[in-house]
Amino acid sequence: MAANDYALLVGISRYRDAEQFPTLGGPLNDVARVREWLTDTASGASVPTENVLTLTTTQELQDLPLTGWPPSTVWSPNRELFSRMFTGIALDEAGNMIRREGRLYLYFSGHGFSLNEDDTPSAALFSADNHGLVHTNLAGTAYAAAVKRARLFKEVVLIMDCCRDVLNNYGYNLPDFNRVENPGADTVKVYSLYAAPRRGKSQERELPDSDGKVVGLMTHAMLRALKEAPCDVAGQVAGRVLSQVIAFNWTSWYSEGPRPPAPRGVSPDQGDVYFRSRQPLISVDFNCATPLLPGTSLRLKSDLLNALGEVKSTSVTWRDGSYSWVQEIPLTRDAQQFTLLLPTGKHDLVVGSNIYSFDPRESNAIAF
Amino acid sequence: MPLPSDTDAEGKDPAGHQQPALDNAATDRGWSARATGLEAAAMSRVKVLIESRANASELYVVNRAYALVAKGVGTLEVMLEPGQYKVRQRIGYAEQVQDLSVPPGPSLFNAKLPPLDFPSPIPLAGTSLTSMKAGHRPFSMGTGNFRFILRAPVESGSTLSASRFEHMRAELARLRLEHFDGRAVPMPFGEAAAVEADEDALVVSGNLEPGMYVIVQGVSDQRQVCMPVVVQSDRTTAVFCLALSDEGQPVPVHLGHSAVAMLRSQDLGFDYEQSLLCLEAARKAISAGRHVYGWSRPFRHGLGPEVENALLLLMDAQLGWRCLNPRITDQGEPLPEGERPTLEVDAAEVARIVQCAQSILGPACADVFALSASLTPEREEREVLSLMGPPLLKRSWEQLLATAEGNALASDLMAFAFQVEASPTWFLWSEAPGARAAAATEPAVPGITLGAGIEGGVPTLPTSSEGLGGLTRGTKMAAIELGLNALGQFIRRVPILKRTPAPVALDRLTMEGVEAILAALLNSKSFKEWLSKAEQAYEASGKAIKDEATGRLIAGLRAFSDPTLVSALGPEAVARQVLAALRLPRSRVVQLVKDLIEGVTTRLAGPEQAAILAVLHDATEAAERLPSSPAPDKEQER
Repeated sequence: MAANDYALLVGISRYRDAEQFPTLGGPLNDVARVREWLTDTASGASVPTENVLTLTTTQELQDLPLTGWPPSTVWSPNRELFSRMFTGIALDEAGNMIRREGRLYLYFSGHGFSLNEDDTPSAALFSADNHGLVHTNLAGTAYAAAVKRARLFKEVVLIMDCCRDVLNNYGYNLPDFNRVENPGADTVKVYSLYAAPRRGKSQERELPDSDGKVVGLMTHAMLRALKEAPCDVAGQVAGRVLSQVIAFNWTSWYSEGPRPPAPRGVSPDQGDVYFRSRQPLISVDFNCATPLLPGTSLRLKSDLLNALGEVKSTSVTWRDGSYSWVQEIPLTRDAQQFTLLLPTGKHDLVVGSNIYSFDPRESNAIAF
Repeated sequence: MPLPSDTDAEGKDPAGHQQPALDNAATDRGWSARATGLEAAAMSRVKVLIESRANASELYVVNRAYALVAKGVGTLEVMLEPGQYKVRQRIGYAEQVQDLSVPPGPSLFNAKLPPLDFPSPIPLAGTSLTSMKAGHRPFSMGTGNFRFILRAPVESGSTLSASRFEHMRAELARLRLEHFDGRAVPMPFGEAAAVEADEDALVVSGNLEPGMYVIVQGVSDQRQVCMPVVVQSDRTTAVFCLALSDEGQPVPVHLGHSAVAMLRSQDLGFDYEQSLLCLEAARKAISAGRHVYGWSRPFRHGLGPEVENALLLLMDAQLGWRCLNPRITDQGEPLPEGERPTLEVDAAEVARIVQCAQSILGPACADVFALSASLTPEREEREVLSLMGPPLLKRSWEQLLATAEGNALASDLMAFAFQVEASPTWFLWSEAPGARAAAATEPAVPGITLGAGIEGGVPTLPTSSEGLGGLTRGTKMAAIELGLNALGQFIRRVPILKRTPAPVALDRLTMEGVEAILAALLNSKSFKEWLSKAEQAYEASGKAIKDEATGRLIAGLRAFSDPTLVSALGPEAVARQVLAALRLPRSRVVQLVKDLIEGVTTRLAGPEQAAILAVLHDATEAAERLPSSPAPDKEQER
């Protein structure tokens, strides 16, 4: 269980100004699917249910007619409510920051935009209460940046399933706390996934495997990629690999009808953010007859793996041959054993000049 | 637990720098070279040549584990282990992914990718908005060294409707051509001719004297959008635009989406289409913010038809420069020096591309100058006293602003009120009609005269705690006197607030000076309120703020004048941030701030006016602490 992980999920399907912001069918379904993934302890992110906070269009708002609703109607989700929800996990009752050793998921689904003056990939959702020239927004990127700057979490995963039309003469609504940078800010890793490149459109539709529901293509692709992406030796999918899997399969996964451009993944400058693979994996113990000496080289190769291991004093550092991931696996039993999470299929462990072939489905304890 | 990866390659970093692709075990660190069956397989790598049509596509190759093993433009030559790969080719937002199966074997494996259609205003075979029924070559439309072509793509077998044709005519009627100094050029856009046997295109063309011209598009009575173009004596410049419709409704022509090509007139009988495909692919890569370059390589190395393509060189150099530029964090800050990765971009090659462009366009071309200054910022003298005109590319404009000398040259050139327009590739600006012509005939920038409210004498003493809250009457009086004195000193030190309308020496007020003034104002708790009241006074007087840049400055100040923010960042940093966001030359920024101060002070009522004068006292003190001359700007990014 990722006890220190939190998630804020926002889905806006209905806007006050329905002419400017047409009603969407996907956001609420997207939030439900993402929530399911996040709280899934078997093959999901294992975020405690109580740590997953959602802010979505209420049924009452969805049922309102296009015109003629009471003037007192509070259109939600809006900037104020989101800010309050965010502040609820970012600050304590005295208004001081709470710094957690976990990951924050920020998920947004609805109508969105970017700004002309953006220097880096950015996006925000329009608040549900926007109308005419009245504009506020839920600035996902700005909030992720604020979390990093204040070092509120160790990692941030920002997912923006919205369009990125480029606007002038707007500004992002920033979080309601100061911009003082914490000395630990540089260590915070931010992985962002945008449904579209800058100026691009996101899209929602009913898909063959979406149970008759309209879903956002990017959210669908992300959840599918977590199932199909090749994982590392610890059963994790690196953010960079996740981005590549989505990009390289985008045209084949969504070949029907007009297809928006592929989503844009932005990985941390240093290192990566890892997600638990959703594919079935088998825990395999590797037992060496003698303690593994530091400096020993190992190699594990399969149809999808080309992993190189270097034995350290208490662990084995495994990395992909093409540098797409790195994992440190602890050594146990007097430096004679380590455990990997692997998919089924033929694998070769190479130690020195010896090759040990195995299939985790048939054998989950390898002696060498 | 996951460890930091020791690479930041693409699709791995914002700058897209690729580390060496190591799909070969024998070359991997930490793995011995003892021969095993696996290594033998690894060592039997195959030379693979992946080619895209016209060498125009961006190419990315991943292995089965989705690790990027190669990327580049046009053609890739890589050594790969036999096995399964995926190749992604992209031009702008058009893309295709192909499976690639590399068989074992000693010989070269050649993979030719299928054509990738992409939309282009230039009628090129294979692009998605081109019907080839007329079979016109792009430069066969019109005559002379300048051509403007407006096309309305129609489905094959269809004809252009009368209403769409009218739309094209109406769009052309909004256009005109001017010299950069505002003089009209007799180029009758309203009388554009239909291309023979191709009613989808209207063309206006002619022979122009070499120089810098501006395509002007009327947007309203108060505003026009301008796009610079260069015409050279031995070259032909063609601008291609699309008149599109959306669900049957005509879409206004956007100059920012046009394609511009500039070819040697003597090359127009050759096969130049491949070069234009690369030009359009590079333009779309710039628009999409990509970090790849190399489109000009085949043409510079004599690998393709020897067609000279000046704009392709400029765009490729810009893309190369971006790849060279220090990486930035996701917050837009440069990484510490030690953390920058080794780049695979060849700085010398980028410099050579710039050199090629310079040999065609000259060192006074703003784009060439901007690139040169960015590539070698340490060089002290560039022997360019003035630019021949504004840059063609928007990135060049940003580069100009980022260097001290570029900033000064840009400022001299664009000495009129304008606003940079949102445009993915080209440098476009909007202005009030006649602004350029006025600046050309009256080069001295007008000074600012203090309003009668200030000039007239001692303002009314504040009677409430507003503005100078908490101060005793005596202190308030002293503050007001100080403020007046401060203004007096300010006027002496900074002639921009002269009491007479005589021309003023603008260069004496530095950027640092206006930053100090703004910082002092931002430090005042009442500043936001003053701004609002001044705006209300503007509106009440029936003179809404029409200048977009002033509007943006006010919006920025309002957004950043939050006391918590000012307290956290410091007023100086906030002021700098607000001013940098304007993306205008320093002198223009200075002018805007002066306009704003004048506007606010003259429109506030007595007590507030007195209070702002008191704040200006602080500003004066701050300005006095500044060095007499501004330090050279070493920043690369704004």
